[in-house]
Amino acid sequence: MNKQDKGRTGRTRCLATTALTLLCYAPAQAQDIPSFNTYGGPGLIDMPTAHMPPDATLSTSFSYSGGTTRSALSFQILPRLSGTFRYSAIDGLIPPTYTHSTYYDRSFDLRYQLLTETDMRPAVTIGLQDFIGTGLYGGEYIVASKTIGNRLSVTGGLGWGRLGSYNAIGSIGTRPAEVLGQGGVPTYDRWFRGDVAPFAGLSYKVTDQLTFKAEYSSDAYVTEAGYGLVNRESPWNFGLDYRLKGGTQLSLYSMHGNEIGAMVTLHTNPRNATLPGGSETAPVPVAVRSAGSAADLGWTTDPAARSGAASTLSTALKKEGLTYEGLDLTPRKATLRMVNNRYIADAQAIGRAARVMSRTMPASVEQFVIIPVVNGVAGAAITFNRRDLERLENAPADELLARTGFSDGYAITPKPDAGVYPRFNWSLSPYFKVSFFDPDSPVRGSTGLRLQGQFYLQPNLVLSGSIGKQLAGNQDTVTAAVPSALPKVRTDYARYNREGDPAIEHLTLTHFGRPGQNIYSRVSAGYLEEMYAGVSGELLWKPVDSRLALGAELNYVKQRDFDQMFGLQSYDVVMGHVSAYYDFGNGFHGQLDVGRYLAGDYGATVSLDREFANGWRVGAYATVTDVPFDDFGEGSFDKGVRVTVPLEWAIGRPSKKTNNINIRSLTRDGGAQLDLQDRLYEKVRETHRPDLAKEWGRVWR
Amino acid sequence: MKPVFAILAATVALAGCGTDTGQNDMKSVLVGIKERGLKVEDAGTTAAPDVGTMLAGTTGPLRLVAFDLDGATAGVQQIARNGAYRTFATADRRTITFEHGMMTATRGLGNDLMSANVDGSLALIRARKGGTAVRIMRYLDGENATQTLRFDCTVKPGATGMTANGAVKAATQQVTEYCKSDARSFNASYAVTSDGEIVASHQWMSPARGMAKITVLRR
Repeated sequence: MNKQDKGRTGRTRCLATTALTLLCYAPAQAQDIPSFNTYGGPGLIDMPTAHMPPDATLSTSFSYSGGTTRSALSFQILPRLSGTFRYSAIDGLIPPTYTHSTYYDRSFDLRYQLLTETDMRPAVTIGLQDFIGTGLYGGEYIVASKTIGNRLSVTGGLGWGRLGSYNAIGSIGTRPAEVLGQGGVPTYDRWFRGDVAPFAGLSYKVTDQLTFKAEYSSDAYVTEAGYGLVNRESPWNFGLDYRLKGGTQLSLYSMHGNEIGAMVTLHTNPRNATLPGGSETAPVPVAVRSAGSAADLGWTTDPAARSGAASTLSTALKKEGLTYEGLDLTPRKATLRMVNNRYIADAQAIGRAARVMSRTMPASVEQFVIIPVVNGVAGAAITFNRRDLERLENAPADELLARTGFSDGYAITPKPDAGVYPRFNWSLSPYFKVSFFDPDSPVRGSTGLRLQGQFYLQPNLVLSGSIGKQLAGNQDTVTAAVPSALPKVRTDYARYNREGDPAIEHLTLTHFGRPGQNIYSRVSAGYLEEMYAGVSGELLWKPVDSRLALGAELNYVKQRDFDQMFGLQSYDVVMGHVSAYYDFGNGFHGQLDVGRYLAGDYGATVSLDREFANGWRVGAYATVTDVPFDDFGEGSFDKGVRVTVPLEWAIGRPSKKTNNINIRSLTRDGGAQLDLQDRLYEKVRETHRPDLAKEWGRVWR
Repeated sequence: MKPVFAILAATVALAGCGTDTGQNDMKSVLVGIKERGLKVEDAGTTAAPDVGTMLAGTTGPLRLVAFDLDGATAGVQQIARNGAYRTFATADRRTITFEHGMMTATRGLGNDLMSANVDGSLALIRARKGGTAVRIMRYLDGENATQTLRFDCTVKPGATGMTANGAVKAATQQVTEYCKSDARSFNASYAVTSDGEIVASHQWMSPARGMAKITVLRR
């Protein structure tokens, strides 16, 4: 998947979209991105600065110096708030009871810019470094940075914890050393406590590409020095950044007076598409009816005219990549049932269908109702007045939005035409999986082939299956046994990986339904996911105009055999959740699930995602259950970060595919969720008004 | 301090084959990656098409579009009319919409002009009069939101002469339009007939596409 494309104009490059390495970068705002430090956040060499990259910048960095490797993923959550997830490997740091030769550590940072920079005042940022967990890198700071002229930037700050460990000038209380819970809990008892030390530095842009940096570090590297890994001769560090055209930062630096380090930082921004608006072919234009033609109702008495209109419509939709399923045609109104498998922006699919209808429906038809069907059930019904389409084709899209009706397609959706069902889809495709953070082998990968098929017995009754066969990789060599005080509902993943080859990834019969207005249902039975089989039922309440949805899910599942064939083990559980989903309307989306998890534990999951109308999503979640932290084990409770990258964004042409990257803190047995294929909410919301309104600019594309 | 151990599963949407219409097949994805960017071959052929052949091939209105970006040229044929707006298409389904010869929309060219309000400039240009006007041009950004560019434009009539291209031969006057926004500016020019038709022009399309020459071959 490491395809590099320089493109003729070199506007955007994308190396790969896998895992931690989001090696895509869009250069539009490259000049505004500040220099990053070895921790993977804005900074000098080791010390932070107060600068912030543009909103939504997603940065990946890799640094190496003196046996320490740091890989970090940073996201500018809001214009003034950013977060970092970091995975570090320190060669030779071997605490007692530790069995590996390299110490691996995950850490999270948060930074908030208290003051933005103006002509008169510096930017001021407050930061928490490694604020969850064991606190190897734990430190807090308050830092000010001021740009002077076009080339010089000076920084000064005060650090606590690790950043207050060299030449402290004072102390605020005492800083506790013991870890809260089993790690993985915010270390709030330490924040801004203990010794405080000053740090400072500057950066000077020699040319647009080359920047020189120098800093006085307040980090004594106490732990590393204690293990004899670092011999800190000097607090002065020096560095050079070279910035490539796309914004990529290459750095070389000297540390402690005797170490040389190197680093690369790549930036991307979900807001900057590869090719804004896409490069797919043009839609057909709206056909404007001639004056007086709407009065002609002659066709209504001719049965051939109706079927003729339907078949022309079907052919024309196919050219747009849309699937016609049925049509309800009356003298003044045409209701279309269709499936969109092409455009990630449903507004674009709807806009194209509407234009096709303007060219194929009899002139007397004044109203077009378009009902995109997902899993055989209707979501929203989108209603256009034909005259609005004719009149507003060359106007801004929001004028059409103001004239568009959104209602529930329940009970008004045409039946599929005879012959559309049963239907069979299949695909054979390669897959690529990467897993991280196994101390025996920090990066593991496997690649193989996946054969999958869906047989639609009825529009809303589908038999679905998927078989995976590994061709190459080392994921199956994971041997580490994970200790657990709970039923081993997830921690046997290594065995599942090892023995399940080939594996039946899922084999299910699923019924989707519409029990009533605003209500959606799902019942699934079979081999639901790689580790569990059983039955699962779900109900979702989601009005078409609403930003709020409520759901309930109940499952009875039994653990599958490790070989992932048909056998079952003895462990079973009744579990499920009630869920609330809310689209805050400002690009943020929240979800709360309360219920019982796989190990029989009770608790709740809170998720918060920043969503972009082009399909990108960057979010985090945490699950806390009644499992005591000591029983949960390392990490104390389940939490993680997730990123969704739409393929369309990367390749600049229509695709509904997305790449999902989940960075889960630790796979443990507490707070474990069932990994179902077809949860209702994400599909149902796609055609509802809040989602369509965000991407409405695409309606005329 | 404890060892860390977690698993991260990254599923990567790779291309495959099958009947599933949601799946891009391998070839189209590879082609997509290769063609990504603003390759003008998308819009037609790089060699200028033969005007005689084009005129013989249809009886409808015809125009020639040449992109400054890389010199690619494509013949476009009228496929629809909506009031004053006429939409022209290349053979491979890229379209440009004109209002009396002024470009107001493109589709399928990349960084498409989604819609435009050019009434002020257009009235001056068609009347071959000097003056100032505001021009609004709308594009989609990376998040699919509509971004509006607002230009302040100055229109100036210039020299008169003859314009002859394809089936068009008319006495025309050159009219220039200089437009400026906070971020950018461009110089457009138009050859306008006495009845207010633009028969040849050099217009600005989009930030990524830049300028293009449009020649009317048959009105």
